[in-house]
Amino acid sequence: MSNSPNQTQADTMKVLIVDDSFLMRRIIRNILEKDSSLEVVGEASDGVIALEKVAELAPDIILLDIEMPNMDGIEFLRRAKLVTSAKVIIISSVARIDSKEAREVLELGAADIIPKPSGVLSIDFEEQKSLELLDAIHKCL
Amino acid sequence: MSSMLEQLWPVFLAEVSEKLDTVESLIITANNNPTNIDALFREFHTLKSSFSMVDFQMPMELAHACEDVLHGMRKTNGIPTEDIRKYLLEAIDWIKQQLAIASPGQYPQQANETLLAQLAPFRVMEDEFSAEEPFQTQQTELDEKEELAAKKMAEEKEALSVDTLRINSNSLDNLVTNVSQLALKENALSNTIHDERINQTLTQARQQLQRLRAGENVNTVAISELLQIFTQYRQELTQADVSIQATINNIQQEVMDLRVIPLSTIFNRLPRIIRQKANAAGKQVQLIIEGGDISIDKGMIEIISEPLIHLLHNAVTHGIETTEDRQALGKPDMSRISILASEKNNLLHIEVIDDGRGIDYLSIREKAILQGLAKENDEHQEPEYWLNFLFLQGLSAGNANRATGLDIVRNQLSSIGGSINIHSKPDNGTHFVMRMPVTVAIQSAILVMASTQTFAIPSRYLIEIIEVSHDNLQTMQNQLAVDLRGNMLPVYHLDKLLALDKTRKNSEASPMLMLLILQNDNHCIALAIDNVLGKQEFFLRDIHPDLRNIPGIGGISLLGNSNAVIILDCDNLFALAKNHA
Repeated sequence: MSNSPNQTQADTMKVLIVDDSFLMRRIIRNILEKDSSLEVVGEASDGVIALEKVAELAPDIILLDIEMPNMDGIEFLRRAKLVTSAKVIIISSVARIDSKEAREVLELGAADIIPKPSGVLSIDFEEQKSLELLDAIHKCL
Repeated sequence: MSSMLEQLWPVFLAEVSEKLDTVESLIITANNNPTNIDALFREFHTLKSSFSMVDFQMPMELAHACEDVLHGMRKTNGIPTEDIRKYLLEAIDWIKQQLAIASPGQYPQQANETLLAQLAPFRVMEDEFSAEEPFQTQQTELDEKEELAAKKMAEEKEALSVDTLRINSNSLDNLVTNVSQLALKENALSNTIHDERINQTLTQARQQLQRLRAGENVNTVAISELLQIFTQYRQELTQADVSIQATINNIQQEVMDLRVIPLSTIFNRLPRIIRQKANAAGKQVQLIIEGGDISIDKGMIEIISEPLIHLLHNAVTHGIETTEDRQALGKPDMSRISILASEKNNLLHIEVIDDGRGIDYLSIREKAILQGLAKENDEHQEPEYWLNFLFLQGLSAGNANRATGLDIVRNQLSSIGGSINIHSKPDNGTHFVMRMPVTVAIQSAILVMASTQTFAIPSRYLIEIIEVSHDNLQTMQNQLAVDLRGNMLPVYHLDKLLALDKTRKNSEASPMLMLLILQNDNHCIALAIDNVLGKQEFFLRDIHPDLRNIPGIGGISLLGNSNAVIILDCDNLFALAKNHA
């Protein structure tokens, strides 16, 4: 695994979480907090808010959902690319790797697509799923 | 150690329940509205993900089926038939039932085969459509429409932010309970009033009176019995009154509580404002906000937002140095402004702290002495003593420095019973502390002049303000009256009603008379005054006990300029008017 949870690097990566589900944001935040190389600097519940946060927080990594109200992830990505060089990682259950949406977001410059960690909130798989997600994020960097 | 699942279970339940409620109302109002279909699709999609997160399989499958059905509709611009709506509503009910019997990690394992089978023919999987080319252009068209709608929604959201309140359902339930109690108690009171016993007793009393008139012997025992019944009756009525009063007090308290909203309502708007100001001034500002979860009266939020924005504006434009100046001082390029809210001893504290150039108290001292606000031999050494001069009008007005308008800020705060303090050191930033009461009674009122005095009249009584010439007034049965669109309304002079000083500013000399049309449940009158000064929100202060019994006076409040104003008690005013006639 490329991540080492105990590293105390000075240059932590700033992460913005974009997802319309509060639950999902909490889950991702909880998982990322286990990794000291990543610092969650903000959250947004749709693309419009996310664009504001990008300007305000200058994140290094954006974890992005696709289906959201007001402005969806694809439209956000199209616009965000003009103003930020942050790595955008799609965390979505919409976009399967071979789907039209998947091709679209990759063409728009998304670093990768990670499926939503189903079953991450379960007594048995919590640890494993969390590590899988962190691993997937690190692979994109 | 509790697992993440246990930790986040309440969040999961809250989010899922909220989504289910949203979905339910969306289905009921779906019709042919494509925006609603889109929203429905998204909600089911989120529901599916949420259930998937916690590994709760059966509801996830059903939500997935619903999502697919809506996906199909969204792509073909179809509308949900009666049947489909019925299935979707059944799906929600079933999911709710599943939630009710689930606990973290312990889920029922029985699928709803019937509903899944019913939905199956309408399901459209994502990839079937993704493969088709024409959908690309449709999508962009849709995107543009959505974008416009989203833009409009965002604008409206902002405009609505203080007008819509989020209410805790518990408070609403309590309110409903109390109102139904009030109805019950009123019913009981009504029964007491119409008690047959009372009519009988009255009849008996009349009979005794007739016997007395006729010179017959009166049964004193019977009379004292009658008196006893009346006394008892009065007791019952008093009890009913007390009990109704108590319920009304509860309701009043609860209604006031409904007005309580979190500070984040305004705090959330600050980053944007700060960023705009910082960009305009070419400065880099990091904003730190704490305490947005503290709740205060909605009226207070409206009142404090102005001073707050004022302080922040001063901090960004005057307090924070330019990047070059900061570099010269060895400060980081990124400046820092903190807004910290906290609650101490029933007082709300809002601190505004910047790490900018600060204020040199010696320069304030110089100016204060120059302007005659302080004596030349004033040898106070404490910086705070001199910094407080910034809140005086002379020093703050017209100075193109960061003190601009601080007198206004202080007056706004004192009008709601609050105060403001300042600490500052040169090059070490400035620290403002605003203190204000957490609970306030706020009412909106019209400010009027009568006999050189300013009065406030609660707006809820005011119907309209009219101007009439003296010729249009009529006298009916010794009472001055005005014809308002066919209704004759009695006219009273406010100063006469309150028995004020007779040195009225020859209002008769002016050709027009200004009348406030006031109404309560029973009466409508025209109140003659000298002038209307405007409308204002008041923080009602407790009136001194000695003043409480003065007719017509309901309370005292402070105006922005720290002058006291008398708030009139309109119900009392109507009573006075009646007696006057």
